[in-house]
Amino acid sequence: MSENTVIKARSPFAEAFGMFRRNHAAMAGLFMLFLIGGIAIFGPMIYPGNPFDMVWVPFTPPGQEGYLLGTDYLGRDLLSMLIHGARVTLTVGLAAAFVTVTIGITVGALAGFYRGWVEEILMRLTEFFQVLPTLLFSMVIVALFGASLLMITIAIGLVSWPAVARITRAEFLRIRELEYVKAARAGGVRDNRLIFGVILPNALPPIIVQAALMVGSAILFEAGLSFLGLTDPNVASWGQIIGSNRQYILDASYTVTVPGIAIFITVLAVSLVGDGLNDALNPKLRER
Amino acid sequence: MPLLSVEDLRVELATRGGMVPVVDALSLHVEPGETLSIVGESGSGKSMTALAIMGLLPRIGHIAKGRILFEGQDLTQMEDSALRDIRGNQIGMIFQEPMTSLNPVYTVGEQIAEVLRRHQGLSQTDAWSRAIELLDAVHIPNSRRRAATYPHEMSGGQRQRVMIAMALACQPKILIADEPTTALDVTVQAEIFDLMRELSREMQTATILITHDMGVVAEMADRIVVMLKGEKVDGGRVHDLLQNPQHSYTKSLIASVPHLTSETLDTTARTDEHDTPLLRVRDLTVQFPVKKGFGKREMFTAVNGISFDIAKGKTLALVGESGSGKTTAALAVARLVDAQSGEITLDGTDVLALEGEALRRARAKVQVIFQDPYSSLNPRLRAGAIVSEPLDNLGTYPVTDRPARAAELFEQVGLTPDQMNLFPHQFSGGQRQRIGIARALATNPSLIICDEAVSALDVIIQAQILDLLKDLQRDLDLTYLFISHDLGVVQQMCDDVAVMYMGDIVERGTRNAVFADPKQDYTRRLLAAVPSIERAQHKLGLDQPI
Repeated sequence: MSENTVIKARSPFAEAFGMFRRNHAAMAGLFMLFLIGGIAIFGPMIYPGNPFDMVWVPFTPPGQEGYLLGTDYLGRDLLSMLIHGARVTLTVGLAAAFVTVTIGITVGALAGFYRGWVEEILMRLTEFFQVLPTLLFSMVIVALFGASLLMITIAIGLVSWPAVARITRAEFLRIRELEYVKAARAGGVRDNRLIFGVILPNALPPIIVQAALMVGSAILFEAGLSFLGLTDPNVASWGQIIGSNRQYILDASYTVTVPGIAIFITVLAVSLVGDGLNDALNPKLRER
Repeated sequence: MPLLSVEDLRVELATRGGMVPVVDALSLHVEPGETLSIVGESGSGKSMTALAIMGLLPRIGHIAKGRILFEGQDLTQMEDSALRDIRGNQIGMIFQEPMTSLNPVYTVGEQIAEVLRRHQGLSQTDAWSRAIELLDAVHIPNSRRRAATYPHEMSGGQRQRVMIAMALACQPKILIADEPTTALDVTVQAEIFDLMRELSREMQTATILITHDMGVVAEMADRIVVMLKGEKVDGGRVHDLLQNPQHSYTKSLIASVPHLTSETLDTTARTDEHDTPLLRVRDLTVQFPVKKGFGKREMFTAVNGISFDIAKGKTLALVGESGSGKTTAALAVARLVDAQSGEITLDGTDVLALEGEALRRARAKVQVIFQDPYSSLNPRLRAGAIVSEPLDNLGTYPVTDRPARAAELFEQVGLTPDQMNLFPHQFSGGQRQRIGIARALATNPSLIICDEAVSALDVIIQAQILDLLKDLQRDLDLTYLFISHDLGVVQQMCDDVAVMYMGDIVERGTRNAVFADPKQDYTRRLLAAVPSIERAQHKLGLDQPI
């Protein structure tokens, strides 16, 4: 064969990254995420001011009197609230996804690795959480333990981990039967290293994808809870802006639409990145 | 005029590195009624040739050059719809994997009838009764009832028979068989080949048989095309090629087929019966729970009270077909599968009594070389880390000596220490198997279990790995428990043989005793089913051995 047939071998990570980079939608999503992240981090410095200050007449439409996005029912600057809210919303999304993944991986890994009664108990527990009405259950948690951001994050994590647990368990069931895991056992590798050092790294790709999509759904969940009023009124999350303005939805629709669009764009960006990761990390979809 | 002729064919695959030719300058022809065999190792382009003829190349592949003439028509220039009429109707194909090439949601009868309805325009009832006739023709017993069963209710061999029935449904002029028996046991393989021979004689079907097994070729083919790296390197009548191979690759291909000889082999000094064996297994039983409906469990006995010994420095082969329990028995010895009862004594230690940390420590004494060179190495670790894994975890070497030990192991298995920084996917199959061997040697084990250690390798690589295993055994005084379904390999490797069937050892003895004078029917059947160049030569009337 000719000399141009040499196929350079790359590490699995580099290969996945190359795949991701060629996915235009995913790169656009990543760009949007960087932009939103930049606003969340640096926005308050560029556009200072307390978002809770009542700065002007309530219900000033966008673009008037120098307020780009207008003011809400208390006369607070919506742009300032949106910029400060980005921090809160992104933090809740990421933290809730982290809680979800931590619980999900632990439960799924133990069930998939040890099988037997451990699996029976953990999977029944997973099913229990899966059949709970998620919104209702998280409302109960927030109602019982207080509407702080921490509680909301934990509540979202508590209701969303079963999906991650099931994926992790399925991957563990598959990988634990592979020969390199048997070889590692024959090589005297201890159980905890088998779980976290040998099997988990190989099980990560679908879990990473799920985690990325989880960030998006956690943001939506937080917005949903806020809309129902289950939020900390002293923190300006995007959901909270929508929730507090919902009575005026017919009179000043922009007060709800503007943060709504922000949530939409963020979740879209996260989903695009998640889909891109899925294509890049799932070898079955390669070379399509 | 030949039935099918391929002229100067070039098939390219689009990869990230550009267009890669997988078949180049290939010409071959098939006459009516004859069997042409395309032989080559994995990646030689033999399957791509078959797919190109069928017009079934993967999306990233295309025919860059050449013609494929079927009864004078160029298939490469044909419209898709015209090609569909030829495919399945005039040219049939059977694939390697009978598990996945049948649709699991339709009964086998429906699947055969569907082909008949589409290509021959038969009515529902006519197609169904013809399907039953075809099942009869491929010797499926009780065909009327079996037509209504689903693929998963049949054995692998039966499924392959159904595939053949389907491929022959429209009485094609050519049948392309791509490694049709690779996934099947050797006795089943012999039956399938008998069937193919019988049917091609009856229906006057020409066959293109794609295989990696020279033994199969010798028994089945009229003519051979040998492919290497996408190109035809040798070809001719079986008779001539076996007697007088031209290309050096063909010679090495023939030479590397493990020979099953009936004559008595050199009798190396047998171990004294009174010696304490290194490994002593008594009444070993392994059972698995099988779920039978809701909440009900039954025990399935995979290994049924077997006993055997291995003396130090010797090799015992456990042979048998899939499902015979040979791998389960070996993994129970390695304590990777739990045994229900029995005794396993290794070097004076009661292996089954070990628990927890003591068990983990004892793992240093039994190591395993696995079958699949692709799944037996952790893709996330570098080769050096894979080999040092047992060293790090079992601590048989002081920390400071470990890098040197790993480098030494790499050299022992014929790799270089600078390859320690590469990832598994950067190695070839044979090299990966060498890494697996290095890992097994790392802790200086008393016993090494080779679980089908060479089954997944191309025949030339297989011969190299077998040589390596034998060299290591001689140099390091290793003891092997060798698990294999391949009697040719077993005869090359082992001192003693134990034949397993349905969880029992049915025959046990020295290599010479078992191969030259098998006592049990099952062993005799197993031996007779192995395709061999010698038998084919005998049939062809060749006198000189290769």
